[in-house]
Amino acid sequence: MIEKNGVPAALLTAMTSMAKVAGANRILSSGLIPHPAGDPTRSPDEEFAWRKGQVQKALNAVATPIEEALIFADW
Amino acid sequence: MVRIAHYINQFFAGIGGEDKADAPFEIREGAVGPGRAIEMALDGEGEIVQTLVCGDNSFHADPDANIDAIVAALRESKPDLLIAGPAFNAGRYGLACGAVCAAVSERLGIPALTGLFPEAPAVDVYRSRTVMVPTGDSAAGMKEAVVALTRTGLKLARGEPLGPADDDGRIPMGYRRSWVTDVPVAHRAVEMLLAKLGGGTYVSEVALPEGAEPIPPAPAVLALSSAIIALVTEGGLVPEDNPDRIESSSATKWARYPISMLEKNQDPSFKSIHAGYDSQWVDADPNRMVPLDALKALAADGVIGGVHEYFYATTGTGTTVTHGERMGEEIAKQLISDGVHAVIVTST
Repeated sequence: MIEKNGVPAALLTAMTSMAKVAGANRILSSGLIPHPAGDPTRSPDEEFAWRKGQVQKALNAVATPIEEALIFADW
Repeated sequence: MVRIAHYINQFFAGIGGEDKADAPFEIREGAVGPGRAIEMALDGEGEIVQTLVCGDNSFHADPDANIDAIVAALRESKPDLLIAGPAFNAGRYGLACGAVCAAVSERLGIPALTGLFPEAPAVDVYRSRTVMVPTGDSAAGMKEAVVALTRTGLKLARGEPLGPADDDGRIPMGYRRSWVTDVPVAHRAVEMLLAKLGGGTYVSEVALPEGAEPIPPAPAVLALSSAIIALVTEGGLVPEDNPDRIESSSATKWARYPISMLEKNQDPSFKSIHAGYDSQWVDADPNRMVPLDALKALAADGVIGGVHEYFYATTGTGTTVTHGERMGEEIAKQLISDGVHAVIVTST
């Protein structure tokens, strides 16, 4: 609904296909179901660096023009 | 011998078409119209003891009174089963059949079923309240409809358990039932995967909901370095006393909290009240759900203009599409009025 109102919204989720069915437009695979922006297997510093990378990807997604719903490749 | 009551409209009773749609409710002894075909298909295993007839307009002019009259009649005649229709793709007739079946099974405990075209308007209205078999979209499909109604009707009348809708040839009623199988889930999943990879056929045990209407994508942010970015989550992250009483599942509420509060994360600290995932990792570090530390760092690096001063939260488990869309709409309006340029959403 946020996209519908004209504001680009990137969705970080472990369940990308479900997100697409539900109508999200800018979808990124991230983390696991209980922590889409976390990776508790890493050390705190490494986890923060990883999360910063994920958020950077989400920012790239809202800055990318798209024609239809897209699951962004993990680039 | 199964004793059956049958509900039909004025057209199938032979009274007339649209010009007779105001024909009042009446009861006839024995089988009438399609009831005769049903009796033939029953092949001696059941009989239609009475036929309830009501004009399409007459029924909808006062549905409560007509349903009361039908319930009173069946309380008297005590049939083992009610069959309504088949009504195919008819609007008023289909809705009447659904309403009659729902009322009779709910109020009298008499099993009831109808036959409808899967896209008929009455299907979505009554599927959860009555058994339905799929039919063609017109009376040209009468023969097949009668066979399906008879087969499922006899099962219902005899109290035999229903199987999965697809196996039984019924319209799904929208609920799941658990049963015990001999094959563990890992085996079933691997078999399914092998069939998929091998190009074979398989049936998923968890049907994905029908896809939402596509939403035209919002235009991209042109200048990230000056953009204000907001964080939104359905992960149920709230102050530990949950001041806004957001539900743990089937949420109807959302709230927003200052990011300064989340950064401090004490008195109160933030916890997830979401009942749909194990929140121990998020409770230990809320950044794993709302990546505030990373977004703040990117703002400090100059990648974005700034972080919006609130984050937004609700619970996304068991939440209805209606409430989800309403909350999304409300959050979107708030974000726009606060001058947010783009959003990062996290979902479990």
